[in-house]
Amino acid sequence: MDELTGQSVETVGYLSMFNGDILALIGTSFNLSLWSTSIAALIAFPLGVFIGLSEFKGRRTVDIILNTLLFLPTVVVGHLVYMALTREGFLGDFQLLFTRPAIIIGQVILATPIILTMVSNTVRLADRRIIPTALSMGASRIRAYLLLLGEVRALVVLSLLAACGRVISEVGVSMMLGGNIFGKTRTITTGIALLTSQGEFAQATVLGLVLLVIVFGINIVVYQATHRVSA
Amino acid sequence: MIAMEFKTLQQIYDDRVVLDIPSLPVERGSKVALVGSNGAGKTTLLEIAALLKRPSSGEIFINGKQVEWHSLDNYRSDIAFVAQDPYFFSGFLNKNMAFALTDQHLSPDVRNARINKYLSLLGIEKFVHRSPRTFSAGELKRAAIARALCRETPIILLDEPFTHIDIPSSTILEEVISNLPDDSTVIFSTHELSRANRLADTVITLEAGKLSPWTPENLFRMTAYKVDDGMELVSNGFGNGNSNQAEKIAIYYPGDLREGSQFMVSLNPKEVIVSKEPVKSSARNSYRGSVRQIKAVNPRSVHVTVECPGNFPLSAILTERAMREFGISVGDEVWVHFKSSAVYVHE
Repeated sequence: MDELTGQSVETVGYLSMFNGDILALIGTSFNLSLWSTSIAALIAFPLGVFIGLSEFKGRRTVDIILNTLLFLPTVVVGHLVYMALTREGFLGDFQLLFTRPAIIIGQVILATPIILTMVSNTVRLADRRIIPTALSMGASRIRAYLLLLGEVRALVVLSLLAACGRVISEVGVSMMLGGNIFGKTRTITTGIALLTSQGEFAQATVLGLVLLVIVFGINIVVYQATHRVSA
Repeated sequence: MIAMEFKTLQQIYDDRVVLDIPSLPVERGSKVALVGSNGAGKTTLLEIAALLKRPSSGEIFINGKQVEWHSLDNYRSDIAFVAQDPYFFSGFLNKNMAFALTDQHLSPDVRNARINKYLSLLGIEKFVHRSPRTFSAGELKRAAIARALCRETPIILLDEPFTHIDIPSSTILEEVISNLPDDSTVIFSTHELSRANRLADTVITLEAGKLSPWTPENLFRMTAYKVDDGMELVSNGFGNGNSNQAEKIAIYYPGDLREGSQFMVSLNPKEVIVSKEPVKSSARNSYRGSVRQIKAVNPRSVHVTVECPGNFPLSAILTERAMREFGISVGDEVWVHFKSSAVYVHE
């Protein structure tokens, strides 16, 4: 009990010393998450609209595969991408292992099925009149699809948040593909893992709290923005 | 000049032909009403005309140019379409109106003036800063039509513009459609024949996806029976093919039909002759009845409904001058005559 109280006091103490090291981890985490979520969105939005609007044989199979990919363990993704990026791997020539792009590749693999599944289901359930209305008002097909996404933006934003939440909180990909190099590839989560393994529980807790507060803040901003636009 | 033309158009769903139009030219500047029962193919035809649905086969020409389905943007800029159940994007009405003009790249002043013009025309200018999702059905229809018309396209397609709206709204809509520029080509669908006759230069009847040569004024379900030199079509619910029975009408038809089968039969009201006395003529079908209704179709034509035996209503379109000369009025006993060639059987 005394130990727990002592750790809490220590945690508050670290919080008050919000230093540059912590900021560097936060910066790296957000930088990587934004890149991977953005790239995943670029892949998943058009595919999600296509899958959501199309009637094709085997769509049920595609749905099942996508749903399965939602549960991809991060270490499995880390392992597979690691094999591809090692010198012997088919992407070995790019020498990406233990760099930020390596983490981004792994995180994109984690984030894409989340956005894809949510966007395709949202589009499938969206009002069927949206596309014809847009086209009849002179919109190009691409603009009509963008309008469709705009009409269901609250759920589209939710898919981005879910994907971002998944990648910012993962450890497996960042640890295996980034190597946890301070100032380069160390993120909040790999930092927490390292500190915990070193017995620095109070600092690890600080990082965890920082992560939660930041994600909470982003959620509030996004919620306000989407609901103001929808009103 | 032809504004829009459909050639050998077919729409097939699950091996079922829902639209089959060999040829349908629409003159520039004309107002065309599509009439027909539910499921006749009116909406499908309008959606194909709006290039929102690709037909199973056939060709569409707009201003003489064949539509190429891989590059529709150029053709769509000539067409405004209002769906039966229009959709509005989130945001206020002015945002929806402005969106309809995006592809025209107008300056803000011109765009706003255009939007205000059509909102005023439809009597909904006070709704400009309201979300259409709060509108009543009539307001929605008017807003949708304002949104479409503000594009000022040469071709305007309206699917059931008069459904779900009250009398003041429909009066406004009728006025707007009547006062559209002379070079605007308008195709609209409606269930109301009187309105179709009042607003349109041409009334086209669709029946089971096919063009019917006649308007549905004289559209009946009848049963075919063999007689010596052809077939007799007997109105359903009356008689059994014996033309001597009272309370039924039997129409002579020279063609060959399957005995005992039912058919939709139509009769061109322009080919129905009305007289006060029996007339000796080559017309094979003659019936006595009383005038039930007389309605002006346009300044030159009058629509006369004669109730024949068995409450069978037969319609004729007469010139206003002929009406005056014969002095026909509601309740008069008259004779109606038509040749068997005026009978069309939808096989």
